Amino acid sequence: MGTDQNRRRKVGLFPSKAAAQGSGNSIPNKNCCSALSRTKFTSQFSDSTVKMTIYNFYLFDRNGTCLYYVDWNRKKQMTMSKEEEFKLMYGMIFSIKSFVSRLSPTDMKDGFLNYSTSKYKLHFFETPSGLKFIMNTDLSVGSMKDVLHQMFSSIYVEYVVKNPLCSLDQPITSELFKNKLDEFVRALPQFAVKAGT
Amino acid sequence: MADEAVFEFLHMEMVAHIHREALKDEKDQCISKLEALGFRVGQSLIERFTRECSRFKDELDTMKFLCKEFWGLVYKKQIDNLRTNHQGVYVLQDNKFKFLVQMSTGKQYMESAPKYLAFPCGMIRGALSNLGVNCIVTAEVSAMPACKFQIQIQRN
Repeated sequence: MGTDQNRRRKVGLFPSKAAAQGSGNSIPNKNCCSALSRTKFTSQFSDSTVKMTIYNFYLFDRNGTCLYYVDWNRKKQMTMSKEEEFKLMYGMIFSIKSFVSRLSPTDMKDGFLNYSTSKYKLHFFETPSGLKFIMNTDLSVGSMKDVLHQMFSSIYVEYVVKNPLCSLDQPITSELFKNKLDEFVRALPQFAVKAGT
Repeated sequence: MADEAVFEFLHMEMVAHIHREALKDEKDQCISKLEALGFRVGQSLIERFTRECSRFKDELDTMKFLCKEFWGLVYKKQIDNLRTNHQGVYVLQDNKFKFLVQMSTGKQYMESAPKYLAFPCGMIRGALSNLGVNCIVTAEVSAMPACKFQIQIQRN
């Protein structure tokens, strides 16, 4: 389409408003569930011209308790309460993980990694101990698996596991953890608040 | 490092265990129990650390050894500030005390901090007692993770 080609031509010259406005909804052939295939259609655009955003973050333990939730740029509020939202999120992730492994046409290496819709992308990372890190970002972000892994090893382990006053199966109350996580996420290249919010 | 983590977790669980097992009327004895544990550990540690050292010239030298070598071997860093009034009172200040660093910076969890300082106090007291110095050690926290250990030498 005309707008698509224009965008591609403009990308190399100067950051254009068209590139910033597009949230990826005009790219054809977008799969809804990119769980098994690793192709990322959005990587055609260079990172310097597209603003990427992180919307929010959930942390669940092995039993489904939501240990931590924070959002930075949430555009639409849920119609349900927080507890219901957490239960829904956990249940959905649990089910998708099991579908992905049972319906896989090939041998599975990592299992469920992320899913994309036309407006946002949900990234998932699970540790061997059953801790689930879930992050919603916009579509122009690539793989966040390493970021989530680093969040686990350098923030969760340091400030929650090593804190004797944080019990591991309760929601996290440590201010230090909250501040360090916030600092870490804000410093990521993928976190850039869209102009106008 | 793996070995540091083992001791940190063991200490965390030790404090939690002693507090859990204490009966209602023995709650205030928990801190003394932890301090006594630290005392014994400090005594043995100092024997090990001073294997190759010569005798200390005076009390101040002993304190400096405590601040630099002993602290460095146990907590992998040195004391940030040592003050004395030359009358037998010494104040050791550590701005990033190992057991408090992961808890908070500032005011959160401050009421529970003294529990985790009992064992280190005991360690200092045990180390000094085996070096021939009898003293009383107390700790205070005004802003995490900095804490001050006050050592009062007992002369009789």
